[in-house]
Amino acid sequence: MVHYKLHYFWFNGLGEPIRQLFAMAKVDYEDHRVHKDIDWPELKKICPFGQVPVLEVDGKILPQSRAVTRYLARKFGFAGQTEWEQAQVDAWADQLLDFMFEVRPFLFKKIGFTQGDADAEFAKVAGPARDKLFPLIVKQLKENGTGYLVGNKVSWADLYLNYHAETFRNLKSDYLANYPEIEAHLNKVREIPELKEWIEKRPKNHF
Amino acid sequence: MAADKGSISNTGEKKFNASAFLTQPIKYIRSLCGPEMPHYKLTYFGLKGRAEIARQLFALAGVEYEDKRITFEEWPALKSSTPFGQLPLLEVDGVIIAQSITIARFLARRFGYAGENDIDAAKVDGLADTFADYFTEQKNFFPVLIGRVPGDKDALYKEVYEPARDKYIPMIIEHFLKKSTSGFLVGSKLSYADLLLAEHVSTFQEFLPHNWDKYPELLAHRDRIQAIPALKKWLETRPKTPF
Repeated sequence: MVHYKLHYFWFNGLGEPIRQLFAMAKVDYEDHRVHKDIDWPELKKICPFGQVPVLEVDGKILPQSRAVTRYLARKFGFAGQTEWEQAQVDAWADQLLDFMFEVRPFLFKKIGFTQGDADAEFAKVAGPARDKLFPLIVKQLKENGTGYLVGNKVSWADLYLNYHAETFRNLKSDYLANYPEIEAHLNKVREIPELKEWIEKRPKNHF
Repeated sequence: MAADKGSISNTGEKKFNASAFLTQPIKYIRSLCGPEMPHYKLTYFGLKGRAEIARQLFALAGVEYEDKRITFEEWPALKSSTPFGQLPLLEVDGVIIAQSITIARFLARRFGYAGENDIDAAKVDGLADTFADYFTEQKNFFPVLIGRVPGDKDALYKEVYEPARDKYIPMIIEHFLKKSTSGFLVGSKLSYADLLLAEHVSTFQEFLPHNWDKYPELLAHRDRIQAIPALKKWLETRPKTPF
């Protein structure tokens, strides 16, 4: 049996889609949640880019959240079911990640990680970015017609969208108000039994 | 932040003190070796109770101490010699310090678990003071819960404990946990307030498995705190007592 160990912070963040993949695949792993000042001196010895998440696979190290998520998704069957679907899932995942980094300043200001007016940040950057991408997501969901972004099975791109929608809705209750299809997508993904179970028992963090 | 370890130092031109050497040779030779580690002795009953946070701070800091546990039979003889007739007591190089929160605050300051600056220290102390208020408000319930005092546990739970819990816990979650980006109650470092809360959550969960159903954030906080390696090790190896 392969031994997996995930090193990531104590909160959800980009570790959450990875943890969700393990839950959906029903694969055991060590969920090592770290605090920067307590754990970093030991941890930095194994992190090639000085960052987490890092996945240990039988002691071998894989860094980069995108790479880790894609690796596990492919292994566990949540990355599209044909080569073409895999490429489409990659495209949506990349697009969603670009978007999530673009709107991250709003998240950081809202939770107090950085100083600044979160509402102003939303009005200036996050809101417009959302209103540019979400209609394209809605279009894709409608055209694909299965309730998922690509193909007829949940993929790691769906998990990124799900994580973003859930986190931002926690911070701003009307975040999905104009996008019922994305709210429906959020609810549909959360109903996957293994995921539902994980969401119920995972540590309750607000981001 | 461990306490300074002693080291052999060059005393240079210091004159040999014959009388000190003759009266207390070991102490004199030790004093030539540089600053000594403080000697700590923590006295309490054989329980977690009000001494547990101090013990956890020693474990986190990796500092040695005498973990003196006395029996209830030995207590009456000791009581009148204590400052306030209570335990725990912390003896630091022969000086007695009393009051459990003060002991925790004192050790936390020495070891670096009392906030990173004076403002954060005040917030940590404010939380500790609030816990004290909360514990006081349900002080008629706890002895009945643990079986030391007879009483109607279920009635007291509903009438005394739950109102106290539901008054204080939401404030702690809203104003501290939900505003935290470090996962700790105050600032970006572990403080003794985190230890107070986590230990309380654990103890009450053992006696009342569904007590925290409405407050999963507390369980998440407790799990984070108790996963810290030095603390985890202490929790696994400490003497097992019911409370």
